[in-house]
Amino acid sequence: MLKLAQDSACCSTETVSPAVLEARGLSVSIAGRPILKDVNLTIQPRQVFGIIGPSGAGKSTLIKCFNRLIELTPRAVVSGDITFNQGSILSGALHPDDLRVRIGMLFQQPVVFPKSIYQNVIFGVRRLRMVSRRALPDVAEAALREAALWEEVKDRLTDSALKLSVGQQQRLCLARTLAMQPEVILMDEPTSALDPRSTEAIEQLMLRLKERHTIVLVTHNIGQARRVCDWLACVCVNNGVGEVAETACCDQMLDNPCCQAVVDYLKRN
Amino acid sequence: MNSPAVPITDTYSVVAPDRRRWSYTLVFSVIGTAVTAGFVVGMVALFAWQTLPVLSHSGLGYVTSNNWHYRQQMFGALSMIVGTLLVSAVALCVAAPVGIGAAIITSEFLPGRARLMVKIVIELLAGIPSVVYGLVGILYLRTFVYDTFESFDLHSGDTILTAGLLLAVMILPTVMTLSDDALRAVPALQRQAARGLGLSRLSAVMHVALPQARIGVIAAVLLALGRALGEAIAVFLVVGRQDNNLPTQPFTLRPLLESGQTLASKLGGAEINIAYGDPLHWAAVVGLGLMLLVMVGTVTLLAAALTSPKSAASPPQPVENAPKHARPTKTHSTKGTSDALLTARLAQEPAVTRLPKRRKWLERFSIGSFAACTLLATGVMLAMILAIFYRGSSALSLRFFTEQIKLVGADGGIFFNIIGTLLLITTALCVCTPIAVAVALMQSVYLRERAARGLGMVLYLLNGTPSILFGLFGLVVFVKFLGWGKSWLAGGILLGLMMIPIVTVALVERMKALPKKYIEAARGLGLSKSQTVWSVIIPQSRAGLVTGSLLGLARAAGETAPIMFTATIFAGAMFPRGIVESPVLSLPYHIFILAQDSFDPRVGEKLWGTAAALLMIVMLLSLIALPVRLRIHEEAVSA
Ligand SMILES: Nc1ncnc2c1ncn2[C@@H]1O[C@H](COP(=O)(O)OP(=O)(O)OP(=O)(O)O)[C@@H](O)[C@H]1O
Ligand SMILES: [Mg+2]
Repeated sequence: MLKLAQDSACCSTETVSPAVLEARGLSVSIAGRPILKDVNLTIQPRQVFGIIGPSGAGKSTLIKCFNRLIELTPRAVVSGDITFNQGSILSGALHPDDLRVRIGMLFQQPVVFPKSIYQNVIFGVRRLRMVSRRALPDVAEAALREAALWEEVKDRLTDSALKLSVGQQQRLCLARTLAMQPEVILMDEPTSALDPRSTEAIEQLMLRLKERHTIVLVTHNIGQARRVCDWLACVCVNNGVGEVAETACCDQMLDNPCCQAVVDYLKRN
Repeated sequence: MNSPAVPITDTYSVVAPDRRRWSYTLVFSVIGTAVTAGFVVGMVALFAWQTLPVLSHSGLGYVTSNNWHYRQQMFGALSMIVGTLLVSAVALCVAAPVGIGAAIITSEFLPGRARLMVKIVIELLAGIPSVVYGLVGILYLRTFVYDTFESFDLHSGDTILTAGLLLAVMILPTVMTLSDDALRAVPALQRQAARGLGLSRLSAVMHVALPQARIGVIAAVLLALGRALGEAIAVFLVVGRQDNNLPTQPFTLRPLLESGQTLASKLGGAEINIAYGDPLHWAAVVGLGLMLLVMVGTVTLLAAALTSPKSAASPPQPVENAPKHARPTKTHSTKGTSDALLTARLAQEPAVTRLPKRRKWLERFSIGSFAACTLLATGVMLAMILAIFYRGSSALSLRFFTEQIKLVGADGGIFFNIIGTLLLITTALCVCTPIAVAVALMQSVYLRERAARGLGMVLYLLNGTPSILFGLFGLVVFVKFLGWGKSWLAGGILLGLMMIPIVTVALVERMKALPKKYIEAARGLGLSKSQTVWSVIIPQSRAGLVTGSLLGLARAAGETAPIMFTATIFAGAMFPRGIVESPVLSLPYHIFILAQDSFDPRVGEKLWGTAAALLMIVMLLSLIALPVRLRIHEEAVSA
């Protein structure tokens, strides 16, 4: 708590609005082994919140907690609390499946379904019957435009999505998520499998998307963190368990970290 | 530790490695493969050749007319063809939904350990000999059908329906295991992505996993169909064996509730022994085998073609549901305004207005019925085993295992039956092992994609070939051509040939899973291909050989059809003294004969005792092998 107060003090320009996502005393263990301990995070709306840290520290585990996808991992136990728009997501008031509609996710490797491009974009909205059948093409177009993919695929919507390049596939996955109009988009190293140009495209997108969405981004790329993130949290391993070593606004964290673990991590990158 | 560095050439000298121009390993492999492929081709050719007389006698009428009166030299097999199709259709209609539902539960909902338990139970179910299924069918299913359809005024409980239901239980494991494999082969990431979009667990399975596994699931159903078409012994015992009974009232239940005959059940009957005296009659009988082979072969090869790596690598991409009115692109002057327009449009006109629609009750109902399928499948299995051991336990005593048969099975024991069965399966093992190793090496070391696929097809075909056809083949070749009469050696060879695909597939799976780095390391030392085979590949694949052999033996021990005409008799044989005219007793044939008149209560007791003994042997063999085998298999599937 003390740390948090200090952090916000050093970035006082930030306006304080109600948090979108908030983790309070979050701990995770898998198969009896503690992975994350006592994580406290506050994520403000309409910004890119970056999570950095060494490999195996538990960044993916943490980000999967926000949409409860961690529960698909066998023998994962989550304790503590996470609130989404001030309501606890673990209390059961919001069904996890509905939560995942409002908190979308992008994976490290693009996961497209072996279907046409069009079918991929509307996959979620169609299966969950969130729009009328007539509106599906509009939804697809809007989502593809928002993901900056429309111009590239508008003439071959019925082609297999597997024919797209990896970078295009990742933007297709983004479009698929955007079609559901989520409030938050979780991105777990979305560009680590991509070439520099696709990476740049995705970074541009993030900057644009944050006007309407909140983005939580896990990245290994410090340059990327500097380019797109507003706030950063660094997850480090302490006694074999992942902890949030420090949270701060982007420049503060990268130029002037307080915590020794973060200093070490940044030095190695 | 601190010895001075000695130049290595001073301590010993090396000679140039021995390089042979051709390798014995390759020759061995070629011979084994040739034997296997030759057997498959030879069987087809032999059956076709022996069928010719009846085709020139009856022409097309052989398959289109419904009159099989061999005393009048009339051979029309239509009713048997229809019977085969009806029985298989009933089996498939029951087994396909239940098996796929159960597979969804095992692969998608059960945690690791429970899943393994269910899979072991199901594989055990697959290993129960068909004669035991037949026995259970006679004593329970027959009565059940008779009582349930009392209002239809049945002549007996031996009906097409009875046979179909029995077959359904028999092919259930095939549908279930292979569908489970197909589902497991769909990457977990695909499901995770669907869940990440907010789909429920069941929707992710139904809309992502199942569609992607559909080819594998279809192949599973096809293979099960192949098994149903070709099953002789179990069907023989419950189908009623009524010749020339063509259904007269289609679209009612009536045709299913009458006795009938299938191609395979006809081949299991005593008429085969009569037929050999008359060339025309014999041709007609072999023709039935040929038809069966063609039917099963088509279905099996179709399944093989569907699942061959080629079609799996590039799954057919149907162009599906394009947007109905693919709209012309709106023209926007510049990118900036386009974005602005879009944002504005999205802001004022939210396309996604509704909350997700979920139908909880449907979801619960579906999962509930899938779970019921799983319970049904495992429950039937456990009930069968319990029933057999319960009814057989009163017969099981030391005397039962050490005495020989007396009073036509009503007294005495099954000592020589056990000896006979052990002799048969030992012979089978000796025949099968070298051939299977040779074929597996050919498949995974020497052959490249296309040829390897071709060999895979041959194995598929051999695996699908109904066991009664092995019996028919043996009758022609060993009993008659070679003049061996009934001989243990013929039975052993036939069972060995039957085991080849099981053992080979187990070996190949293991060899495929072998890390490439071991082979590269050995080749990097300069070992030749065949030296690598014996020093790395075969030692590392031992587990596959052992478990595959055990499962193969379990299957061979319970087979009746291949040995009934070629190797075994009911009473009056002890230790064989030679090869010609030296039959043995055996457990499955003992059950098969006694099951046909199980009315004497003392026979009944011995009968169940024998079934329990056979089941013990079979289950012991499979249980030793299964856990390891399943683990290897799982790795191969998910890799
Ligand atoms: N399914 C699992 N079962 C057991 N342990 C797991 C599982 N998933 C993750 N872990 C463990 O949790 C720890 C954190 O993993 P996680 O994937 O969250 O790290 P990460 O920070 O995302 O690493 P990276 O940067 O390499 O992606 C690791 O030590 C890992 O071994
Ligand atoms: Mg990660």
